[in-house]
Amino acid sequence: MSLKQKLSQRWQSIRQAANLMAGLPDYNNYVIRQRRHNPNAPVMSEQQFQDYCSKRRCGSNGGKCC
Amino acid sequence: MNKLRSLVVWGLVVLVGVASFTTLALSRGEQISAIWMVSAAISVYCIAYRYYSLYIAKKVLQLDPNRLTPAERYNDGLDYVPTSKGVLFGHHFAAIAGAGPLVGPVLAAQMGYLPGTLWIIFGVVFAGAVQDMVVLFVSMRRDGKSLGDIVKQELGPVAGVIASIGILMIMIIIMAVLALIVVKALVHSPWGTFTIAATIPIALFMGIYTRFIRPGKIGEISIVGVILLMLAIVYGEDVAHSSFGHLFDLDGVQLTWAIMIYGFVAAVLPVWLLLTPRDYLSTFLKIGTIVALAIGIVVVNPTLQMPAVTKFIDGSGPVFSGSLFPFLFITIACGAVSGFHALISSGTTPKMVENETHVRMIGYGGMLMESFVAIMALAAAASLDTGVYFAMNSPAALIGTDAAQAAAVITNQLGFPVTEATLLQMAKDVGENTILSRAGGAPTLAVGMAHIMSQLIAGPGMMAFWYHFALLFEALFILTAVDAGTRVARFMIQDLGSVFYKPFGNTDSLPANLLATFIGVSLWGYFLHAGVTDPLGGINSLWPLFGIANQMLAGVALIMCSVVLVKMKRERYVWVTLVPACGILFVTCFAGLQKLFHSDPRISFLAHAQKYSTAAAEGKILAPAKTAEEMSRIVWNDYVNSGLTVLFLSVVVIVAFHGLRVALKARKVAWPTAKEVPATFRNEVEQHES
Repeated sequence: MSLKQKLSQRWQSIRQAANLMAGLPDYNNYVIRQRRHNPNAPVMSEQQFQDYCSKRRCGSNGGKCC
Repeated sequence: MNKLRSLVVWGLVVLVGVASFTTLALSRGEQISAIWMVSAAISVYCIAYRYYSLYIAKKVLQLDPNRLTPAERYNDGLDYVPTSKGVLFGHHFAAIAGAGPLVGPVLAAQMGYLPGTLWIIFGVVFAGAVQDMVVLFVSMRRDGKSLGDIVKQELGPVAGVIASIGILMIMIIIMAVLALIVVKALVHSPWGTFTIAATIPIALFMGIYTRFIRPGKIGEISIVGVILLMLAIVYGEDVAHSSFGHLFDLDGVQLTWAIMIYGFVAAVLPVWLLLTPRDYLSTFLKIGTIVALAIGIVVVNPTLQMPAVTKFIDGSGPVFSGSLFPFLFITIACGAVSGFHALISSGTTPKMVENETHVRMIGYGGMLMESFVAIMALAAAASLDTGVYFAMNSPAALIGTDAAQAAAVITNQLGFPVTEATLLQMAKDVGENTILSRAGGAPTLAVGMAHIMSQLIAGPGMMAFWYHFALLFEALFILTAVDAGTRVARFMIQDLGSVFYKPFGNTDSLPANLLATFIGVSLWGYFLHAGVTDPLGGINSLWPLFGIANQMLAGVALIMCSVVLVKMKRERYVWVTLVPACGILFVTCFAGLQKLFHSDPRISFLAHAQKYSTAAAEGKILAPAKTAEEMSRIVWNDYVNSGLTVLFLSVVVIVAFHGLRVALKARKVAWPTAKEVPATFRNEVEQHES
């Protein structure tokens, strides 16, 4: 693997970690999982996905620490 | 060879730890450097993580790398996402770290740095981190069930409902006390108020950007947001001195109403517009600032000005009253042991664990990290000029509102020499009109951080910038927690309300939404208003209440963990959670009873109410009250606070009673009765798939 690829991979994982810290899992991964489980199941759009995640974060079992 | 190397390395760690503790404990008279606190903490954390957490993982919980986690079984990319250890550690830490570990240690610094340091370090190792790890484990084995649901499942429905009411009450108290800290920091501080107000338009802009312009690009917009925030801090001073600066120069009651109206609006609006972008900002700013503070303390290596132990361990301190035992253990909650973490550890984290063995690093390690934040906050507070510390944290009733008078009182009555010039100069340095009686911990920490950071970057001229930066960062994540908490409280109230009137539970109904949010905001708003108008300063009575509530929740969580261990037939190891559970219960009940029945009116709510109502009946006005109306308000607040204390105590006692009953019943049968989700093992799945 070239250095460039390594760096880009590293960058991707940092980006994912930062997104997850803010409560947003990886959208592409979600689509892949949904498709794999059931190719006919409805898949949320990216915007719906974001909405779902931010609502979940402030939802009944979300909450932040003191 | 490996064995030898490990022996040498761990021998060195032990030596560093022993040397640090000796220096901390034995220095009398001469001042030592903050690095000893840091090294004492790190060496204990390393040893505890290496040995104790491994013991818990291997023997007590028997984590099984071959047992599939919920994330692996359900992997839907949405709620259940297997996440690598390091990434999930970051997620979990960002969720548990908040204002608590920054504020409690600052308040507790009045007793000297040593008691706080010892409690933070040993509390986390034997109680806090154990609680987080075991709750995470228990919830993971139940597909990520929440604490309330687990208590209901394992301890019975009565204990479940009682625990849920307790959780709602603790959230209300937390929101009130956190909002009170913000109000205390912003009273008549137009610069600070402007920067906080500026976060609203910045967040709206970020929200619209991530929704319509470039969806999902939260990294780039967060960077833009942080830059805009920095500009708001830099130009905040000019705004404060400009012709419309008086708009941001608010008193306590005005700020209270502003925060309540804002909290209501933020909880009712769609989350993507205001809440989520502020959440991004506060999360990234929080992590960045914690890292910067760690670098600052190690590089600048400030000297601890505060004595190791002050005379205020007898309970006569101006910041909070009550003696070292039990009130130190109540004042420092987050950082040593925090019941609130049980809610986080049974929230989203257990649904993302990739392998059971990761529970050790995420649960135990994450809490050690939070404890380290508390140690740094304590170091920052203890490295301030001691006189300045007491000037900032003593109530106006004691030191007055004039720098000369305050300097005299602190020098003569409290015994920490400080001059009027120092106090005025400090206020000028940080760009405030006054630093007197800015209780609540946040401003003190901000001065401490400014003191350290200005030595690290850009010199004393930048002190005011760093002060307002630290204030903004604390206020930002406090307000985010308050907004998010209001939404959570809304759902809980709708849930509880639907028991009496079914349609009220419909979360899509706008009237139900508005009404439940209104009830939620009124509940914490009531305590906030009472705290702000309290002639005694509010923090004095609300912070212990918060501490009791938080430790009570930790008690409930640890009881639940012990019951689950008994039900799993691991009685041999139950001491791991039972001993801290008993310790926490003892301390909480002791503090709660003192808050009710102690003879000293400075400690006990009831004795205080008695004193003021007797005086009022005789037509006398006792300081700090100035009118008969203030007298009756003090008495009323005392009764409300005692009522809450009774409520918290009864929650713990009822849950403990049910826990004991269930545990005794479980002991009578020969097989495990814990209600885990049936296990699936990795090799079974592989065989099946092949």
